[in-house]
Amino acid sequence: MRPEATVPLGHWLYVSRCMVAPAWAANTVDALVAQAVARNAQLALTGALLFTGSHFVQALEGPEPALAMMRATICRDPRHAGIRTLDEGTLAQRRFADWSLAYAGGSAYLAAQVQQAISLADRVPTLVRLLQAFAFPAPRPA
Amino acid sequence: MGEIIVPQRTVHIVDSDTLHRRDVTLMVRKQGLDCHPFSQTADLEEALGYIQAGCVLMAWRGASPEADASTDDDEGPGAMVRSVLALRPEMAVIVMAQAPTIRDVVEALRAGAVDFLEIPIRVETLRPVLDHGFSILPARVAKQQRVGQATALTTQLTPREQEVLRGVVAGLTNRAIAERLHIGVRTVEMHRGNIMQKLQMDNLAALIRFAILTGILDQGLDAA
Repeated sequence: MRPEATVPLGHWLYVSRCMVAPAWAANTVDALVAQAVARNAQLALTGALLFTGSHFVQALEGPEPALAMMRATICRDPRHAGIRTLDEGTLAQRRFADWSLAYAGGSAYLAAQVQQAISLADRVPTLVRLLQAFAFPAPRPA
Repeated sequence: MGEIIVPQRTVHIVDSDTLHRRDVTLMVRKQGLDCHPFSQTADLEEALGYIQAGCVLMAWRGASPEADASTDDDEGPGAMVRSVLALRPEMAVIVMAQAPTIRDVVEALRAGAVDFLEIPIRVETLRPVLDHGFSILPARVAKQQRVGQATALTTQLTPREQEVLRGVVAGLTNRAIAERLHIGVRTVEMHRGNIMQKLQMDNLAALIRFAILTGILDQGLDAA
């Protein structure tokens, strides 16, 4: 791979609706994460995924060719629908150190944060900071 | 195993703010739910040994003034949540806070809180959050009961049988266990037979499941 400085660093933030029945959603997320960790590392893609039970939110960043490829793959994935871009563009530097599952669960508070970011563009940065905070947790005792 | 019925919908409230504690308590009771108010986390902790499984609504009111200015992780809302879950892992903990920071929310959820509520609390947001808490409670209570039963069975094993069990769970062969414990292979086989009998199990898969439940898997003999 070429040194990263010569390739523009792109980013994409989207929200989508989960199309998997609730009973299977937990298994789906497990499978999806296991798959994504390896593949994203290989493609030098970093970011975080959040699952509220009904919606997915994902921040992805990395070399633009790899990002475009992953974006096409994600758009074809039948496990979700109604993909809506909340933010995209280029970055001077990465906001995530690696790729991880930020949160998967039934929190109504997080679901409301996602809804707000969908309807109000100025709530989008809060959503990104939320993903970052989940991705870089303060160290805690085992 | 039969379905576990959580008899009454109980909400435990912890809030050092007297007025807010009263308001939330009344709001919860108006919903037809049983409600027990506590003024401090310490008071709740004291009662955790005997109170009913339910939702725990905990107000995060910032770090205590005598604590270090830089909110340490063991002073934050995460620590508050863990203090309950360490003793009662089945409780559905919900953290409430006024103007919470992103860090407050993330810490609470990462520590195992099922949700977060922003003060002032409104009935329309409170009710679905409590309903969600109660919906996951039966499975959590059932799991805790299985853990409790499994842990009780472990105490029937002799120290030697517990050592052998950790070896089995770590994936060691009978020969390897025998070498480690400086006993004969036949003795290991005998111990394994006794373990299965005492734990009322007839296959290795059940034994591994048991080991996961009781946490024995985390302290297996080092297989390396």
